[in-house]
Amino acid sequence: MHTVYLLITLALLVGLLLILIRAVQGPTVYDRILAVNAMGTKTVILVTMLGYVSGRWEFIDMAIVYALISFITTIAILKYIEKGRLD
Amino acid sequence: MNEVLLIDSFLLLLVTITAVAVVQTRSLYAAAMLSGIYSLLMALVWVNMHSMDVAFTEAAVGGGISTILLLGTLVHTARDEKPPKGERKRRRRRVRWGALVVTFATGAALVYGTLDMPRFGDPSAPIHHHRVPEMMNQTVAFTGHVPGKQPVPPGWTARADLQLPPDLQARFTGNRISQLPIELAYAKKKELEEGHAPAAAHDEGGHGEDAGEHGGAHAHPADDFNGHVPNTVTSLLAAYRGYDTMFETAVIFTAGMSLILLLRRRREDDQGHATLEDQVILRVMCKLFIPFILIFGLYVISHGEIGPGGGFQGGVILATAFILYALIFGRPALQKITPQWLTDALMAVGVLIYAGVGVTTMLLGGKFLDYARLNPLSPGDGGPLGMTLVEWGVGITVCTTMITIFNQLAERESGSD
Amino acid sequence: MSTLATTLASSVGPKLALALAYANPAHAPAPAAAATDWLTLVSTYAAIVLLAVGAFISLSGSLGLVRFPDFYARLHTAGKTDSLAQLCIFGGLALIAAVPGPDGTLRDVDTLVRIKLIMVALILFFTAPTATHAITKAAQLDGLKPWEKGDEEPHE
Repeated sequence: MHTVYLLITLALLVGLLLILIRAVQGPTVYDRILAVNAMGTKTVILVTMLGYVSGRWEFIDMAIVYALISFITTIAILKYIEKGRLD
Repeated sequence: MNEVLLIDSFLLLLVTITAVAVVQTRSLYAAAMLSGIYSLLMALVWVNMHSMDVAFTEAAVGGGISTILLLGTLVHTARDEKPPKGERKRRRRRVRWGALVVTFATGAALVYGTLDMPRFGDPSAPIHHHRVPEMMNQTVAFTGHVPGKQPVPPGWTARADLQLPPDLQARFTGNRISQLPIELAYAKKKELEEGHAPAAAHDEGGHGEDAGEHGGAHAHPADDFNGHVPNTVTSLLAAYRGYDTMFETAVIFTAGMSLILLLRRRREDDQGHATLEDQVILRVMCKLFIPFILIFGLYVISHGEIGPGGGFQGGVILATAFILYALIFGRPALQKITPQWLTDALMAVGVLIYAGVGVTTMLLGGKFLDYARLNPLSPGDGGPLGMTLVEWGVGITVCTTMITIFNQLAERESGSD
Repeated sequence: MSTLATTLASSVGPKLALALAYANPAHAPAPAAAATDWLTLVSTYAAIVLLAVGAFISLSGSLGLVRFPDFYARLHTAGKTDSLAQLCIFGGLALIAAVPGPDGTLRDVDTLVRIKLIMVALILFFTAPTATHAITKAAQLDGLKPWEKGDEEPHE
């Protein structure tokens, strides 16, 4: 079972690398935002998986924080892009 | 190769790529987003190394609010970095050898410094022998489904011929008789009050039984953590280095104050604002989620001494809920709920709560931030009470300071339109 | 934990000899007991299948994010696959009955942990599509044109 968690974590990590490539490349702003957003979702899953790899599920609290915070970040970035201001 | 190392090296590779990309890009705005990704990855590194509280902070502060504040800074500056002097349209950059040599030398020195550090998870590292065993000894955790002290991990036992420090030795043998003066003093006090033998008061193996016998008064060693704080990190932050944390809170307060002094202008004309209210899906989702974020933030603040989290993290989470409201409905709407005088006052109130707890303990006859004094009948219960109060102080200051910083940064200067 | 300590100590040398003092094989934790309960067995296999499916979908989505030609095409891979993958993975994790803890013994998974897992899945299920929608709308308002065959790759 432990191996299963580890393999899935590694698969997710490879996915993280691919998303990072997209975030660095661009080419448009929206591609970057999309990559940041996808990264947030992946990170939430990864945090939980890492908790299971090490047998400590207290990490789930943190996954909730990530899920909420990455959403707000995306909204802030979008507002800046769309309106050029945050207020 | 164990899995921690494997995952860590992969994550650090990603972190390096991100860092290089942040330096490379000319678009400041892409750099802000990439730095958000950088924090997400760093938080994963912390998670992987089991430092939950650090990861929590990185998630809340690095991933969330710092990206928003960076964007707020971009409102005041340009979207793109200016090309350095003498550089034309060509993308080729000149290599500055002096800077390169200095950077590599610094890096090499840092790497050389880490060679002396104990390996990750090394059981013979000094930290596992000096302070942590005592703290773990006081940690109340759930083993099975029963709350109680954390037992020594199975398979860990002291070799007979090994000389261990007395406190650590006692942890393995189980009969701990401390010689710390404060413990002796508390034991004496207990003895006088209840007529118990001091040996019974020192028997820290059974919390549950003692609680019944002594009519609610817990008997346990009364050293500086004083009691039932399951999250070692919080007890470390709030008690062991409580002064430090208090001044950290003061630093955050100072940051908020200086931003007010630097950026706040009195103006009568309405600056106008931008809302995302016309996007129905966004508006409804945010209305649904803001209460949830608020409750979660309050949970994180008040849960700090039990699980990961605490005042800093919870305060930031609370602040992001308010910021989300401002993003969707415009800043004037936020000003209606949290008027300026309120956030300004609460910034100071948080620090005052923290310092006030310290002064209270002094008035009760102890030292500054000696939480045990808060509950004279059972000193052990004073610790969690004091830490909770202190965490609330930190939470209030952090939350209102973040809102203030956001308000000041998001506000447009009148000339920039 | 004790095996880790032993390996560390034997590989790094005399500096860590102290580690051996604590890693007494006589006290090493017993290997985890095999799950005999058929319900546990079924749910474990279901969890493995769900996790594998989730990981595959997630990986394919990430691959699409790199390979697809333009922003609107990439939206599909990032938005839809992520929602499905996270549902699969969190569902799979919620089915698991026990996890080997840091000390090698099996820890039963709390009901509260399962509730939290489902909560995370629900939060993501709502926020991720909302964010994707907002991004798309912003891009469309900005006048980003979909890519068609024969066009050049879009540039900033």
